[in-house]
Amino acid sequence: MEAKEPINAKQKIRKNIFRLLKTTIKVIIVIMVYVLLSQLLAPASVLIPGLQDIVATFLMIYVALMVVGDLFSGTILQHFFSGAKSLFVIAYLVFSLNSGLLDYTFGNVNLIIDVRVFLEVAMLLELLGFAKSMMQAVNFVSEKVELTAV
Amino acid sequence: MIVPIRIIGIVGAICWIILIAFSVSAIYSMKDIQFSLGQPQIRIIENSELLFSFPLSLTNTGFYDLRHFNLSTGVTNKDGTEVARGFTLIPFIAQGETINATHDMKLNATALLDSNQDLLLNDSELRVNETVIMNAAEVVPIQASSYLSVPWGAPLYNLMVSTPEALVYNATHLLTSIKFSFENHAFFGFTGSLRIRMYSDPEVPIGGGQTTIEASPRSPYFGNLEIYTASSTLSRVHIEVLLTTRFFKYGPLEIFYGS
Repeated sequence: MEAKEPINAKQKIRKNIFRLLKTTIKVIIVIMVYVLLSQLLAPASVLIPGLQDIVATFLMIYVALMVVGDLFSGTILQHFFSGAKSLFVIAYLVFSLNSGLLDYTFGNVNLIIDVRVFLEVAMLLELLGFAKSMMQAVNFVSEKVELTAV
Repeated sequence: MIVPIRIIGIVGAICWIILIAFSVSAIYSMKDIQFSLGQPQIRIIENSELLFSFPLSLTNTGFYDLRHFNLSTGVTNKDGTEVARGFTLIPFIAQGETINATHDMKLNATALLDSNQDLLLNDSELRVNETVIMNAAEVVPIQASSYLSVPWGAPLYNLMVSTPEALVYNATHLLTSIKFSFENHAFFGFTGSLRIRMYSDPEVPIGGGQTTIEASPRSPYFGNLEIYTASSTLSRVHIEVLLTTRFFKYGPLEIFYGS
């Protein structure tokens, strides 16, 4: 028993360091993608006021949920956070994109952009992600039950 | 269960990458859509309608084709009544293509001036509404609309008719001269006839005449009409002025002279 404990602790520490490293890399990739996208979206930011803020807020909450989910990896909470992330994305897209009809006024120019197609596809993909999280949770529980039974 | 979950994950990730790449490139390529309307050429067509032909240029150097480019313009008067409308549809603009077209708008000057007689005498403003609708990247409908005020120049601005000046023509008649002037502030020139009828006090016609006028756009016009009248009838008279052109009718304008 005494010989096993240091190995378990070492393994746990290694596992946690690996998990943190994985999360850090994920966050760095997401930030890099954001920086790249924000440069590409810069011309549109002139047309769509607040676009940068919308994307930045979205990214902050998304990254926070992603980090929390990763920190709880190996538990059932990971899948719930993953599901919550999908639902958050759906809700945030619906609110920030004004249900798909963006309406802006600049002086005497009124601009309406219909992004309902984008919104519908994004919502479907996130629903797929939510279903995946639920399937992962079910799978996680069933694996635990099987292990306990064995 | 692991395999379907992984497949769902991979498919979802690929779809997200495609969706984000498409959305960003579609937004990015919007800056490469250039659209311009040039100065209009004005022609007179049948039924006294004025045809405004705007040269329209559309350049699509974005990543995607454009569909259903639709430009509509409308002109309304101060009351909000529509007096002119134009409509241009370009069904397809391929990526990297420049389209030159003409946007036509018909203005029925007769209808406009019949219903708004004050536009004949007073400069005003007309409101022009412009709306552009297109499918950017083929699937993203965009609508941009704006309005601007354009000045309306009155064709009979500052219309003035002088007091009749009578000269003795012979023993029984006088030669009465009436000067008139106006400034044609309109963007169109017009020809027409000006008719003046002269009456003595109790509505008895004592003479009349007609002259042709030819007013160039944005220029003053001075005219003179000579009328033969019976002698000793000019102590207390009134005249009726009636102007008839291809675009509008004005009058009868009654002016009273004498005490």
